[in-house]
Amino acid sequence: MLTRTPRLRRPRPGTITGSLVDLVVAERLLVGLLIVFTVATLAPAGGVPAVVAPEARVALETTRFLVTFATAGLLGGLGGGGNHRSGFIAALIVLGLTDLWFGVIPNVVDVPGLSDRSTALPWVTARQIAGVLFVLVGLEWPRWPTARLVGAAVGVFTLLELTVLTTISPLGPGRLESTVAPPVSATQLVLEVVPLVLFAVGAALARRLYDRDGQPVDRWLASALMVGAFTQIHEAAFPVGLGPVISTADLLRAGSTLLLLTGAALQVVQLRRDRTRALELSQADLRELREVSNRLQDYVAQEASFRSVVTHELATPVATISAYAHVLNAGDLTPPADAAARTIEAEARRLRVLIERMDELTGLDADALNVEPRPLSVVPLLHEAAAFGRALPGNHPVTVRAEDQVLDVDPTRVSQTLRNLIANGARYTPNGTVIQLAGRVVSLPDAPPVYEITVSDDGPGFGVQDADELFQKYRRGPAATQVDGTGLGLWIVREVMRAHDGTVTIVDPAGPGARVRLCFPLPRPTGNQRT
Amino acid sequence: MTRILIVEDHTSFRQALAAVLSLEEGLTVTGQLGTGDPDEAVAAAAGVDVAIVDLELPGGDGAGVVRALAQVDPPVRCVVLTGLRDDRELGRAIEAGAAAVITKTAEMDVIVDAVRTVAAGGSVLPAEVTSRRLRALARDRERRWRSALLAEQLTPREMEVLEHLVYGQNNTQIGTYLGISPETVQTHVRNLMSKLSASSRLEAVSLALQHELVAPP
Repeated sequence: MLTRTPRLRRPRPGTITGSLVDLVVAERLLVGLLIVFTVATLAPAGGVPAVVAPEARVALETTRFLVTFATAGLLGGLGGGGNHRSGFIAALIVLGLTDLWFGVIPNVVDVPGLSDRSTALPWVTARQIAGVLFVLVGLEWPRWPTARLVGAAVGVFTLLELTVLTTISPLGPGRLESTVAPPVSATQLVLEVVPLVLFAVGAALARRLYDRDGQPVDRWLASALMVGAFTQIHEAAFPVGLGPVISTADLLRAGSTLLLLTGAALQVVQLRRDRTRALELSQADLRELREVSNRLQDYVAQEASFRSVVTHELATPVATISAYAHVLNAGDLTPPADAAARTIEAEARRLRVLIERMDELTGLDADALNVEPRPLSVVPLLHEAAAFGRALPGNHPVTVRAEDQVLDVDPTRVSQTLRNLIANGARYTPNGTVIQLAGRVVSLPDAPPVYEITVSDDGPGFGVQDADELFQKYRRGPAATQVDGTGLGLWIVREVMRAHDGTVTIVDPAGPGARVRLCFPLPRPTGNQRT
Repeated sequence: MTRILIVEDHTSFRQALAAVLSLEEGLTVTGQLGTGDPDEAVAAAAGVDVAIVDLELPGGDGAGVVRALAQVDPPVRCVVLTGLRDDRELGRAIEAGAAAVITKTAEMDVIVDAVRTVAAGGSVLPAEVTSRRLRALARDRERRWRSALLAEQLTPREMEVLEHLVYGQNNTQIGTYLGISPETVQTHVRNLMSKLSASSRLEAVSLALQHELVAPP
């Protein structure tokens, strides 16, 4: 059993990759913004309380726009929280743009048509759009990439604001500089109620997301939207609650922006924790994988070295036995001794063949299978293999129907291949199933003629879609799991066929009945044989 | 009459082989040697036509014996008879000048025929197998040569840093271990990366393991 290494090296947080923004920098930046924003919102400016200082409003809007943009940028850059939160980023950008266009710019630069306007309508419009986007976040729809959704939202926003500014602005509610609360009009009520509903719905949906995913950003978004909804009620009831420069609604909005920012900050922290954890886990996995691979390599090396030692250590004693048997057989022996000497020589030869086989197994991976082809008549080979098949358990009749042909083949290897295939057939089919061997020359229009040997049976077949799988080393078909085997049989077949410049294919590997087709190239007519 | 020297450390096999060869007409075993010392082999090979040499020998190796025998005047032609199967080892023997390479699992007749062929000035080196063995030897040599070249370029300090990199340690950890500052470690890392032509630490580690510059963790 392998055990996971308990001691994990803690990665340096600064080296976490995969995000556009370094998480540590992001965290510090957010905390900094939080402080700046709080100070700018609440601290007295220019010796007077912020609520009455005219500069305070510009400062408030500037900071709010910077904070919303920064939050959106960070969340977007981090790719944090998943795709469905792209609506959140879009909403932040819309709100930030509102503060920039209608708050900061008109106060800093004199923009005709904007600076002299003291209507809250552009803000109200932006809140409607943001409200819709927040609801979309909660619904996790549409699953667009962030850039696309932001583009769409900004497009709609620009279009609506232009319409508002050029047509219906006189209907706008809440003159900012009025010191007394004007009566609340029906239009204003409607305009304030719609975002209210949107925010409330958005809050509920975000809460649901938080319950499901446990992401901090959702939880704080829900709270911010609740405050947002409450702000709408407040503004509808008391358009100027504190005034004259900063109203109570402004303060409430500042509060909800703070909540959003907190959510984003916590999300960053959470993301950082998640990434660190993921990195640790993947490092542990890698280490484990390396350990397994090392052990496997060791095992393979040990096995190979064991085989090599066995064969090598056996080779010399067996050669000695062979040599002495050879000497004995060369002498004049009496019949019983003569028979004994011949048996010793024959058995020593068997041992030598065995050693060679084991050696080949060692060398199989390193080099191609060694074949020694020579011109051979193919029908006797088929008959020999058939006789082998009939001797296998299961009483399988093996039939041969083949036209004779001389091929350049290694008789040992080809016999091995045929025996492999026949043994497969005998193993995986019910007792008594006929195994057929067929051989013929096949001429196709665009290819040189080949000699095709087919080994087929009417058993269950291989039952795989991809025949290539069957030829992998140690891989076994689904039917094979109930039968003993090494998973080397078909692999060896393919290696042998490759060594003969031939091919092996499985006809309809998924269907019933196994049908393996071996194609050998016909010998070249010049008699130029390989050695 | 072909005079034969058998260089083989297994006494029983050496004697058995001598017995087999003594049955053959025209062949006689005039010397037997159980070690791989080239000088002893040269001394023992005086007046010998063919030497049958095992590759694994105490006090030296078969390829060295083959090389030494090929350089005496007149050269003693060698039949390598071995239990080894490693293509690189066999390639080394061929390169040293073996006229035949036969495995110990071969039939006695094959061994005898090989001795006769070599004695007659021929060789038993089938083209395909021989070129495969020589290729294996060349590949192995090139790999070793490249590794040695890389290892030579690196300073001992860079080698140490590389060893720590393989364990996934960062600059601070390596610095603490080696008693140098992380910035110095960074410099070593940058230098060794450029020497290895690696574009990242990971690639440097991969190359180091591939060329066996450092032991795997």
